[in-house]
Amino acid sequence: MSEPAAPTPSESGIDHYRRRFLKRLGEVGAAGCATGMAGPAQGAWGGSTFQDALGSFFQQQYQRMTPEEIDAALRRIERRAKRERGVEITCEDTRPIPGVVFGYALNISKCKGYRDCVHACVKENNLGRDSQVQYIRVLEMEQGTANLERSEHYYDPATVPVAGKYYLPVQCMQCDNPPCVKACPVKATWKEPDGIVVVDYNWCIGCRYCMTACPYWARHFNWTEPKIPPEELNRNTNYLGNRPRPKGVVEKCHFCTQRTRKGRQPACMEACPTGARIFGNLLDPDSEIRYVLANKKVFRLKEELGTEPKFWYFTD
Amino acid sequence: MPAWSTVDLPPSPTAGRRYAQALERVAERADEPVSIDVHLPFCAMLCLYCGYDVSAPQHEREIDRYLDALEREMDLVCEHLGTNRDIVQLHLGGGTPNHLSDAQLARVVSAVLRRFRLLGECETSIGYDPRLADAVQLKRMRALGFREIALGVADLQPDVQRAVGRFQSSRALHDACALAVKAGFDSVAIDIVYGLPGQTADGFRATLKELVGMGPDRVRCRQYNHRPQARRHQSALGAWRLPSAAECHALLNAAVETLTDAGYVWIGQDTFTLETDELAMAQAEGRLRCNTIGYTATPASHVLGFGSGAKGEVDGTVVRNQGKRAPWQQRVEGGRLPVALARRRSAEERRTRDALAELLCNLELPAASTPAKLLQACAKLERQAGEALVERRADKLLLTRPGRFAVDQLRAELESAATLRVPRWGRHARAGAFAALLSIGSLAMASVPVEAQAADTASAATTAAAAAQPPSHRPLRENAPQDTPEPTEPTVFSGYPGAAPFKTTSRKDKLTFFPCTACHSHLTPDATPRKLAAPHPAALNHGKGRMWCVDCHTLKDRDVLHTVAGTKVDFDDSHLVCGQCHGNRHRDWHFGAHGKRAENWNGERTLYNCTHCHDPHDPTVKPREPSKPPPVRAGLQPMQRTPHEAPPVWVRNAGAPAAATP
Repeated sequence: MSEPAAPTPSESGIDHYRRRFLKRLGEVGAAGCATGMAGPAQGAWGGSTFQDALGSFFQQQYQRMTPEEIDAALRRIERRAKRERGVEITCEDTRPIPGVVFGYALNISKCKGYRDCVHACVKENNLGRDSQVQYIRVLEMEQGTANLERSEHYYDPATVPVAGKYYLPVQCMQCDNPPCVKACPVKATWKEPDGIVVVDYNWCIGCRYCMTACPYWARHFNWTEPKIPPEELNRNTNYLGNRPRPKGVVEKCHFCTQRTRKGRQPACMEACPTGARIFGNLLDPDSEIRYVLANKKVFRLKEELGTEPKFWYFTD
Repeated sequence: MPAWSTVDLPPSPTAGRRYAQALERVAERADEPVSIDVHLPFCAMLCLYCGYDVSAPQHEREIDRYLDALEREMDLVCEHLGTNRDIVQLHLGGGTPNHLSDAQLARVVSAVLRRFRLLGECETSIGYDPRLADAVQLKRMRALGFREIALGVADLQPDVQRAVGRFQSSRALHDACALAVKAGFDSVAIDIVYGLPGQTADGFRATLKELVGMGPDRVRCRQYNHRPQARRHQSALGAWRLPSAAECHALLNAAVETLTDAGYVWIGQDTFTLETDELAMAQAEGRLRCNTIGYTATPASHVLGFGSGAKGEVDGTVVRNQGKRAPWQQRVEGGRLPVALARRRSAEERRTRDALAELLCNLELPAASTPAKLLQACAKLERQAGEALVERRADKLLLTRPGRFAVDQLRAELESAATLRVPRWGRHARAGAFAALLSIGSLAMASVPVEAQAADTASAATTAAAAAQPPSHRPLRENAPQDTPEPTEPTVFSGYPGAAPFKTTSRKDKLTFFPCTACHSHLTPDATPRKLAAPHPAALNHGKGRMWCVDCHTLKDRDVLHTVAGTKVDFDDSHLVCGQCHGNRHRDWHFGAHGKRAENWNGERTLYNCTHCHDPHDPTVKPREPSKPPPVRAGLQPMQRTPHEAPPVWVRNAGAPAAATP
């Protein structure tokens, strides 16, 4: 990746942030005293209430929160979206389904490089429209080669597929032995019981160690606040999924937890016009994914690294 | 070896008894070894030229059931023949043996070994589909005791491959050969087929040259036998595109020239081996023989065929098993020998046939043992062809080069008087022959020669001796009956075992003009192929011009589709029609590996019909404009792709000077 477009320390300075923090604390203290620490503090805390600001500040890591605390956090997210974007969203905490481990298989003989999955994913997961964060990269590859270094990511011919090329969509592999989780210094990312590697955006400090640890370029950093037209914002959100993210955190594909944990297909699979994507429960011997694994010639990317991806590629 | 006709006839009730009698006669002579030919009619995919009753692909359980029946059949034979008989030749074929799992193959071999005694010098061979080549499996096959491997190749020319629906690259074949040699097989044979649509002498030469480059020990050129009425899938080859008899002759001639130039020895009629090969030496020494399995240097007087469609010969009795798998299985499971035909050859017939086989194998025959009938048949064919097929010397008879090409005709000529011949093919003709056979009476059926020869040989299509006299082909449409007869027993497809239940999305509510009878009830049905006006599609771009509307749509009831067997199919279940030809895809679709599932990943399954994505009249998915490429954040350049020509990064960096250290 290239250099960030953020102000350098010499321009703004750490002191600047510190002064602003102390100034605002003073303002809130004054306002809180005046209103008995209950009324809305207009102008202070970016328009947030003192309660919300305090709640966010002292919010625990997701796995250590009590159900009440989680509920309070969800309501804060909803209020914040209403305040900042003017959109009524519902944020839920959808739990994993017991006895389910998700797996994904992708038929590279069917994939034609239409990129419909990419755009469906952007819409579904409230990705910033201009922030260059896209969970799925469709790589155009030379037929007969598997050199990812020489793949083309920005291909834009008049029609696809181009003769002599094949297309290899790459997204988070939800590794069973995820190196990104090991790299995180604050335990802001972990593997859920259903095999999905998730991120607590509130706990992430933006150090980007996980991005360097991931061999699949599946993690993305929000250099800017993700900008989404309010009318396009997906209002069904999940805490460990597609809720609006702040600037300065890492995010990644989470197999659309807001959909798949309720039995729906991931957005990329639903959008795929060729039926190249197969998703299902790896623990169910009658599932479609298990049929593919048992009967097709499958491979995984960079299998030799021992990350045990749960994302397989196969050919007809 | 195209020894005699391979038509599917109704089974003779006495055939089992004849076979049992022959086996019992052999049982008294315990020192005579046998050859064994096992048919395993399972393939991953059906090739259009296949002459077996292979229905592909098969579920594991089906294969296991077949193997159960195979063991039962061996038991039935051993009841009459006794166990522990020596075998000198074992061949596994009749499909793709490597489509079976290792455990299943081991089961077949152990089933044979439990009942027979494999001699040390036994010729063991196994058929192999190089498209499924697998180094581990090859090693296991070798460990099972197979010495020869026969790689099935139709032709390497893309046009021919497209026509017959069997695609394989020469590179993959080359690798398969190398793997087979590495696995330790003594002999690697390549089986090719001539007489396929689109084959030309030049193309065939090119194929053969590529094959020679792979260095096989043996190359067998088999002639394609077109019997579309017995094997329905062959009708898709397009009879009018098949090469004529003269072209077939040219193809074989091309093979003979190319391979003998490359140093191969021409064995018999259609086999070529290296000079050091056992067969070549046997031919030179005059001890080569042939039987229903092929040419061999260690002949056994009896061949036992196991499995559906297997052929054998026991004590002069020619035996053919039920060609179709289902009735074969039924008979075996019912405890009867699954024989469709068993005909005992007369002493004279046997003598003539043996003489011809010896003449073919060793290219000469002592004058003393030459039967008069053979000389008569030669003289007759020589008059027709105008060239000498045999050279008559005082002490022996020599087979000339034109004679080697004409062996099939010679054999047909000899058998024409004695073999059961069926008249011109076609549903009505076959029904007539069936009725005639029934009226003759079951006892006499196999022994009485039926002279139901077609009067006009020019118009006769594939006859029983099709291999000998390739028919003058005519387009299928011309031969097709005018109206589709009502089928007597429609076969109902009941899904694949193990696939979860599903429902399909509706098709009918997306059809603008449905019901079709709204217009068609006022029109006279017309099955003639022609250009249709709107609202019908202008062109039918499906099946490479072999299909026409009424192949899927029902002529007399336009609101439904129909299968080949004539079962009516609702438009919402159109996958049943598509699945008849596209079996692999259909199975994958059932199990969820092809096509799309709607809405959910668990719970009730709703599948999009084939027609949701594929236009049934033009099913190829067309190229389309891609969605937008990823945006590039302000102030950044898109990541530069390394050009394909550039060396890898570690090579590029190796030459760069190391960064200066402070």
